[in-house]
Amino acid sequence: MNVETLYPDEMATSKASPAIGFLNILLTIIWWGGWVFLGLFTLLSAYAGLGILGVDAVHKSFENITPFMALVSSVSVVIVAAVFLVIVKQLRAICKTLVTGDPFVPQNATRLRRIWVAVAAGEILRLCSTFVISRLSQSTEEISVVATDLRIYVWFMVLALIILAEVFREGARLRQEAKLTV
Amino acid sequence: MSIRVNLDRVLLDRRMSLTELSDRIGITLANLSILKTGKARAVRFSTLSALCRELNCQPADLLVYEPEEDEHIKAAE
Repeated sequence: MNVETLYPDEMATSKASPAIGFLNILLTIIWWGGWVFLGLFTLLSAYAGLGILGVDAVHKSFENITPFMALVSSVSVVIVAAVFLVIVKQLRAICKTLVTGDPFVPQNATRLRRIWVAVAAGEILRLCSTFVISRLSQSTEEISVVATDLRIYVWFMVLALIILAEVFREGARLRQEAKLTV
Repeated sequence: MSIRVNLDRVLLDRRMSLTELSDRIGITLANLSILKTGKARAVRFSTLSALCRELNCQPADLLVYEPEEDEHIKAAE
């Protein structure tokens, strides 16, 4: 429901802080940088793919690792970069609502939910790719590393994001109630 | 919502427009429309007081309690 703000004067005076403007610019730079990074690693994946297909010149350029391992590594980096871009996109959208002066909207709760889902999915994919690479390298030492490579702080961050998403959902509900209080 | 707002009827009785009431009590037309159309979730005592003062009425003239269907069923049980 689109309802006019209850305190128009108050809203008019609450301008976005310079820090938000700076963050907005920073996120824009990160966004385009992320796309460049994604593009480079997509090209690298394609290059490794050519090595697997048996293109001799490409095959010889891989010295210490097989083209298949290079493909798995670069594909996993591409996936992580894609997850990163999803997160940056959501953050940019949240920043836009901050600039307009009303961040407690239900859409921001959804955006935070997308961020924690992306972080969790990215971490699971990273674990899977690390596992595949270590299996391919045939090193029992590296396999034991995979078993202990659960990054607790990432899952703690996911938990913090889940809580933040719920706080935003409740904040948006309270904001809507305040808007509908006459 | 089981509370119905009778603002339109009271305004009609007083031959007063919503815009005029908005000017008199200093509440935006948009917020008065929310109240009139029954979309409001809560009413401040200060708003209710201003409405009663300008419309020369009691809160009961503006607000009516109407139990909803499920409330009837619960009461019967």
